[in-house]
Amino acid sequence: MTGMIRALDAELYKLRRTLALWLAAIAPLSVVALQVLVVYQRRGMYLNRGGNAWIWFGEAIYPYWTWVALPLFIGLQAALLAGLEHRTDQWKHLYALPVSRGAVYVAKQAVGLLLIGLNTLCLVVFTLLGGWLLQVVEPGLGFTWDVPWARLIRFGLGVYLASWLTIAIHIWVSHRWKSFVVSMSISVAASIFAMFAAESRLALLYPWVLPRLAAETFSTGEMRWAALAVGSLAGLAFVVWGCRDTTSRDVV
Amino acid sequence: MTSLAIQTEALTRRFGSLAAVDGIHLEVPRGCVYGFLGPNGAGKTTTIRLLLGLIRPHAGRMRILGGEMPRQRLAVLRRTGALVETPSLYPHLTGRENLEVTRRLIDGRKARVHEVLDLVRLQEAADRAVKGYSLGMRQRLGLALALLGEPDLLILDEPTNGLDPAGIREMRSFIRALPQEMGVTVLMSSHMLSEVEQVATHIGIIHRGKMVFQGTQDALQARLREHLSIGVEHPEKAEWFLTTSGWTVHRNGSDRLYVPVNGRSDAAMINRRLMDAGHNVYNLHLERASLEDIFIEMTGQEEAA
Repeated sequence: MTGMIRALDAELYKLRRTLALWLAAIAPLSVVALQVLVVYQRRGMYLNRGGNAWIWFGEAIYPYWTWVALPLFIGLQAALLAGLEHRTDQWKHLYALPVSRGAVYVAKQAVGLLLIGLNTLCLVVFTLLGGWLLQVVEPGLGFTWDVPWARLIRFGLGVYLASWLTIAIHIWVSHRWKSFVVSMSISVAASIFAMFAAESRLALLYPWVLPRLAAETFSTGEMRWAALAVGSLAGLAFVVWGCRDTTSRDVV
Repeated sequence: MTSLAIQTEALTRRFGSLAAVDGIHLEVPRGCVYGFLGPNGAGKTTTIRLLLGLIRPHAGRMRILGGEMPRQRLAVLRRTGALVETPSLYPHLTGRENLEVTRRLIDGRKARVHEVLDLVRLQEAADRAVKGYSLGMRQRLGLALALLGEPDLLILDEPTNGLDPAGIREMRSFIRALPQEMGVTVLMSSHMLSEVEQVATHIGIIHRGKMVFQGTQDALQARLREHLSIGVEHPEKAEWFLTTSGWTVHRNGSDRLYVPVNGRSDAAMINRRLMDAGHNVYNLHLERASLEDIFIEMTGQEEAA
C-alpha cells in the first residue's frame, strides 16, 4: 500500500507543467465557452423563453460533452499520461526501481481517474460561470439564482462514475501501445460507434455509451443507476485485469 | 555473505528461436568494476535486463547481492542502481525535479538529491528543464538517478555512449573511483574494448549470447601475446621468408609485418635471420596486444576491430 501511495505521489509530481493537467480545465472551458457564444449570438431566440434557463443551457452543453468531447478527451488524456513514459522509454527505469509494477500501473490509473474527475468538476463550474456571464450581458435570458444544484451534482457524479470503464480501457491501451495514434483511433472509432450502440437494447454493455446514459439525469432528474454501476464496477474490474496483464509483460 | 555481488548459473533467454543469452555463468566479485564486453547484439543489454528483472529468464538462476532474482526482486532492487541504455528522463521537468520523482518513488532521503547533484557536478544546471541539457549532462543526470538510492551495486549499460572525449574521460574516472570511495560494485557494459580496459578490474566477454572469457584484467593481459612489428623493405618477400621459416605473419592491410612472439629473444632471433637472409630491416619494435586483439582472437570477429 505504501508503494502505491509513493507511486501516486510521484505520478502527481511529474504532472507539473504538462498538457495533461492543463487539458483538464481547457477542454470543458472550450465547450462551455462555445455554447456561451452561441447563446449570446442567438439571444433573440432565448429571450423570455420561460422555464429555468439553467436546464436548457445544460441540455445544450451536456449531450455534446458526453457524445463527443468526453470520449475524445479520455483517449487524449490517457495517451498523454502514458506518453510521459513512452517518449523517453521510462518504463525500464520505473520498473528497475524498488517499487512493484502493479503499484506503478494502478497509480497511473488513479491519476487518470483524478484528471477526469477534475475535468468533470471544471465542466460543472464553468457551466455556472457561463450562465452567470450570460446573465450579466443579457439579463433577459433568465439565469437566476435558482440553480438546479441537485441535478448538476447528480449529473457530475453520474457521468464521472459511468466513465470509469472507458478510462480504465484507455489507460491500458495507451500503456500497451506506444503509438499515440492507437489510443486516439480507438477513441474516435468507439465514439462514432457509440451513436449507433446507444439505440441498442444492449447499450449498457458498450462502455462509451455509459456516460451518455448517465448524463440523462440532468434532463429527467432520475439517476441511471445501471449505467453508474456497470461503468464504475466494470471499470475497477478492468483495472485489476489491466494490472495483471501489464505486470506479466517483459520490458524490452 | 558471498563474495560475489552477481552470480548467474546457466542463465538463458530466447527471443523466438534466437538465444540472446545462452547459458551464461556470470560472476561479479564485490567491490570491483566489472567490464561486460561484447559487440552490438552480443546479449549485453538482454543480460542486464534479466539482472534487473525487466525480462524473465527461460532457464538458469540469478543471485544478486545475496538475493534471488526475480523472487526477491524488490529487496535486490532496493540495493541496486541502474542506467540502462539512454537515461530515462522527463524533458519537461528540471534535473532536480527528475530526481525528486524517483526519490518519491523509492522513498529516499530528501538530502540525497542535493548529494547526487554534487557528485555528478550538476548543481548549477539542476533547476533548468532537462530538454535543454546536452547529452553529457543527461548521462550525468542518469548516473545521479542510479545513485539516488545509495546502492551497493551499480549496473550501467553503455554509460559512455554518445559522450564527447571529455565526457568519456570524466565518466571513466568517476566509475573507477566508485568502489574505493563509496564501496559500490559496478557492472558496466560496453562494446568499446579500449574503454573497459581503462576502467575495469574484472572483465567478462560475451559473444552471440555466450561468455567467451571471464576473469581479472591481469588474467586477460597474461593471455595477450606480444607482437613484433617489423618495418622492412620488400615486405612481401620478408613475409614469405618468415612464413616458410615457421612464423605466423599478419599484415593487417599495412606494409608492416606483425609476428606473434614470446619475448625479446624471439625478436632478436627474427631480426638476425632477416638480416642474414639479406632483408633490410629499418624498424622493429615489440607491441603488447590490446584487448581488441584478444577479442578478435576469441570471437573470430575481424569486424569488431
